[in-house]
Parts: sequence; C-alpha cells; structure tokens
Amino acid sequence: MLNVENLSVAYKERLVLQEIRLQVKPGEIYGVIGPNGAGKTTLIRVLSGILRPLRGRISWEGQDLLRLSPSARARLVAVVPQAQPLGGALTVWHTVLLGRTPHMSWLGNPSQKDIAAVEHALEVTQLEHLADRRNAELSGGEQQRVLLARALAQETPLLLLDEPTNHLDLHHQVSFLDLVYDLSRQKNLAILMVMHDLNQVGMYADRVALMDQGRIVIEGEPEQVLNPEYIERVYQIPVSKLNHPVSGKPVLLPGRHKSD
Amino acid sequence: MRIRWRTYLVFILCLGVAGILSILFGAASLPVRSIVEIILEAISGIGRSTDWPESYRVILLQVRLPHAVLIALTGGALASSGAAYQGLFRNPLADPYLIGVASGAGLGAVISMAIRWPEDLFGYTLIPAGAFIGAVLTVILVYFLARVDGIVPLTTLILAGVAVSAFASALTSYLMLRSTDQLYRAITFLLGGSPVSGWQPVLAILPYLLIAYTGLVMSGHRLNVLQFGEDQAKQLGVHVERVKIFIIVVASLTTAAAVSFSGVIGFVGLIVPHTLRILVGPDYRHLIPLSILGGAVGLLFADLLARVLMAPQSLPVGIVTALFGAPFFLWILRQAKTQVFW
Repeated sequence: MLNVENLSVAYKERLVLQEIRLQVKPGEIYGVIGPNGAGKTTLIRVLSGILRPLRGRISWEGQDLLRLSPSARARLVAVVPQAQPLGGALTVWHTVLLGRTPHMSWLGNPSQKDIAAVEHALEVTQLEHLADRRNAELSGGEQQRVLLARALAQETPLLLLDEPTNHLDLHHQVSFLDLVYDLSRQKNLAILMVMHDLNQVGMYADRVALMDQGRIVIEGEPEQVLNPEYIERVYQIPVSKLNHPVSGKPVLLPGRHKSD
Repeated sequence: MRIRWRTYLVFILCLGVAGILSILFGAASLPVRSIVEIILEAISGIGRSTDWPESYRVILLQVRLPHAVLIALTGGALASSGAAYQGLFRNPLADPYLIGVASGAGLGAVISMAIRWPEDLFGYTLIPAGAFIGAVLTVILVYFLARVDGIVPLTTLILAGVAVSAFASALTSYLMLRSTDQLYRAITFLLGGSPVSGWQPVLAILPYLLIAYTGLVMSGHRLNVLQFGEDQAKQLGVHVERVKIFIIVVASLTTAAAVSFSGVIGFVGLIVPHTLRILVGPDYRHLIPLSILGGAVGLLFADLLARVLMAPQSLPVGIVTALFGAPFFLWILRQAKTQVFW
C-alpha cells in the first residue's frame, strides 16, 4: 500500500502542496482531479522522487521511498508521463527495454528476464506488431501505449499516470483507460492517476481526491467526491449531476443550462 | 535496430585501409615494397635485406606511423566526445568545437605548454592535464550560460559556445604570440595541426584516452535513458546528477586528449556521430564505440587530403575538416527542424 502522510512541498518559497494524506491499495485506481495549478503534477513529481518534499512521509509497504536510491525507487514506482512526442529515432522495442533500467547494470545489456519482461509489456499493450518501428512513425495513441509499456516493463507494484490521455482522441482515451483498468485488476497494481475528465474519473476510479491550491479538498468514493457542491466551489462553474443510465455511476454536466 | 558484429568489422576494415593509405603517402615518396619490408621487419624483429636507405626507416617508423596513430586517436576522441555531448545536451549540434570545449581545452593545453615543462614524456603528459582542466571549466561555463529552464536549447548552446570559444581562442592566440619564436607553432596549433612529431605525443595521451574511452563506452546505456529528459531518466532509476558529471568528465577528458597535440580540429565530432546515427540508429551503446572507429577513419582521410592537396607542403587538417564540416553543419541545422534521425 502507498501511504502518504503530511506531505508538504515548497517551490521557490511557495507551498505548492500542503498536508497531503492519501493511501493507494494494490488493485485499485486512485483518481486525482482538480483545476490547473492545483498541484496534481507536483504530486506525481514528488511521489516519483524528482522533487524533495519539505516535510512528510511517503512509503510503500512500510518502506520509506524518500530514503531509497533512484534505482531502488524505480523498482517500486513507475510513471507514465503526459502525452508528448517521444524521441523519434528509438525503436518501440528499445524504448520499452529502457524501462528495465532499474533492473539492469550500468552497461544496459538485457538478460533473458529483461527481454521476457519487454515482450510481455508489448503483448499486454498490444504493441508487438510495432516493436521494430521507430517512435516517430507512431500515432499519438500508440506512443502513449509505448510509454505505458515502458512503465510496465519496470515491473513495479505502483504505477503513477499523469493525465495519460491528454491530447488523445476519444477512441484512444477510452481504450487506454480500459487497458489501465484491466491492468489494475489483473496485475493487482496500485495505480494513482491524475485525470482531467471528471466523467472518466467517475467511470474508472475506485477512489478520488479533489485537489485545489495544493490541498486535498475532499477524498472518497466517486459518488461522494463528484458532488456539484464541491465541484462548483473548486472549478467555479455550475454543474449538474446525473447518473449513468447503465452503470449508475455519477455523470457531471458542466456549464449553465440555456433555459436558465 | 539490432547491430551485428559485422558493422564493427566493416569499420575496422575501413580503419585498416585508411591507416595503410596514410602511411603510403607523404612528402617523400617511398617505394611500396620498401614500406612493406620495413614494417614486416619491425613486426617480426628479423633483419632482412637492407636495400633501402636508413632514412626510409626513420620516416616510416618515427614520422608517418606515429602521425597516423595520433590522427586516428584524435579523430576517434573528437567523434566519440561529440556523440557523448550530443546525448548529454540532447542536442544534435553539440560538437566539442562548436560548444567551445575544444577551444577551452586548447587554452588549457597552451597554458600548460607556457609553463615550459621539460620536453620529455613526463612533460608531455602534463599538457593533456592542462587541456582537461580547460575543457571541464569551459563545458560547465557553456552549460550554465546556455541553460534555459532546465533544458539546453540549440540556439543558446551554439551562441554560448561561439562566445566562449572566441574568448578562449583569443586568449590562446595572445599567449602563443607573446613568444614570437613559436609563431608558426601557434598558427599550426590553432588551425588544427600537429606541431610535435614522433611517438611521444601518442604515449602522452594514451593513458588519458584509455580511461576516457572506457568511461564513454560504459555510458552508452545511460545516455540512451537521458534522451527521455532528466525527469523521466530519474523515474527510470538513473542517478541523473551523478551520471551527468561522469559523462562531462570523461567526454572532456577525451576532448582534452584529442586537442593536446593535434590542436583545435572542428566538425569531426559533428559529422561522424551524425552519419553513424543515419547508418546504425540512435543507440549510444553502439554509437560511442563506432564513433571511436569512424572518427579515426574520417580524420585519417581528412589528414591524407591535407597532405596531398598542396604537396609537398601540408595543410593543417583543421582546414580540411572545416571545408567539409561547415556545409554539413548547415545541413544538420536545416534537418534539426524535422528531427528524423535524432
């Protein structure tokens, strides 16, 4: 279980995260939402060891992540960054292989185990047929799957995703999130995912934290958090709430009704 | 792209051909038969017929052979350090010459020469040490001048490199011209030519290069990971700060060794790695060792041209590399927009 206690982060004498507490269990998707500048990406950066917190504790199964070496940490935590163009000339296979870095020596010569992990990650993300292509030849949706495959090749119990479906079209958004959902169940991964689309959070997350100005405003089940009362206050827009006709999960409609 | 040992074999063969051609041609025309016999004799140690003048032996074993070895080592060093800087800065134009490291190393070497160490092997090994200090200081200066929000953009890198390079070159010229008896030596050095001949320069840089080449070849995998950017490299378990310092040190050591006795030679570190990227792909585990071989081949041919173009006089090899390199540089500058091979 990922356990974050009293986490505060300062950037240039300004507190960008304050008193964050959260827990992510294996097999669950923990959604993080909030307006721009709420501190969501900062949270990912501090959990993955890029930023040092001012104070607080981050642990995985009782192990203090802040005290680990970069490679030991990278064997526990993998990150899928925001959609971005990948270094063009590397092949998909090699990109995913670099996910094995924390398991490999300085020289980066893959063992049988590394190769097996790469092939498995490619299979799960349905990229096998693209293995020998260069990243630059892939579509945005495929590149994002490559980044997921690279993170899976790391074989970590904890996976952090930072708005992974940004800039993807609707088809690729849904198929990507379906894949993440299946992985959390099949591989019993603990997944923390920063998301933009509130309805996708309602659909895929088991629990949700709503952030604003570096704090968690409310945390809980999607039904609880995706409540017009909180959303209107944080995003400063009117919203209406419905329930999904099939799943019964909460659906939010932002904006004023024309008839008002 | 899986790279087979055959690629290496091709490069080693090319190196052999370039080396042989380099030994065959020179100001004095030696008969090929004598050359072969002298080399066979030198290798086997058995004295054979002596139907060649003693001067042939000296020219071949004390001038041409060490010159070819020095050129090969220099070319390999410039190309591999160029490849490493390009990976480190994630910038296809980071050539040791263009980013000013070579000039900084040249300045360091000249300051070290000005101290007038004894003219023996020990004195010569101190010249690369001075060049190394100059190279490291320059690369750190250029890095901080060029850095904008944690990345090193192409434009600021080149501008900072040009400015620092001009400054270091001016200081170098000033120092060398102060001693008028060394005027010729100064100009030769600045244009990329070897002022010292014989085996001593080779022996003086060899220990530095062995360490530096080992370090560079070991860095290939880390350079691959760094191509994702520093944040992602950290998330993939790389100790980024430590790795950056390590690569800066070994790349600067490589550049320093190259510059110490061959002067400031531009564009080899640009042309060779870039051509290799097109031929064998972007994997630094292969780019670095192939740059060592490819740089040696490239500079041997450039040096051959330099000696043949105005024979019996020879041009400084830096003029030849610039003649080919500058247009190539402009071509990459245009290509950099599309980033196909990068």
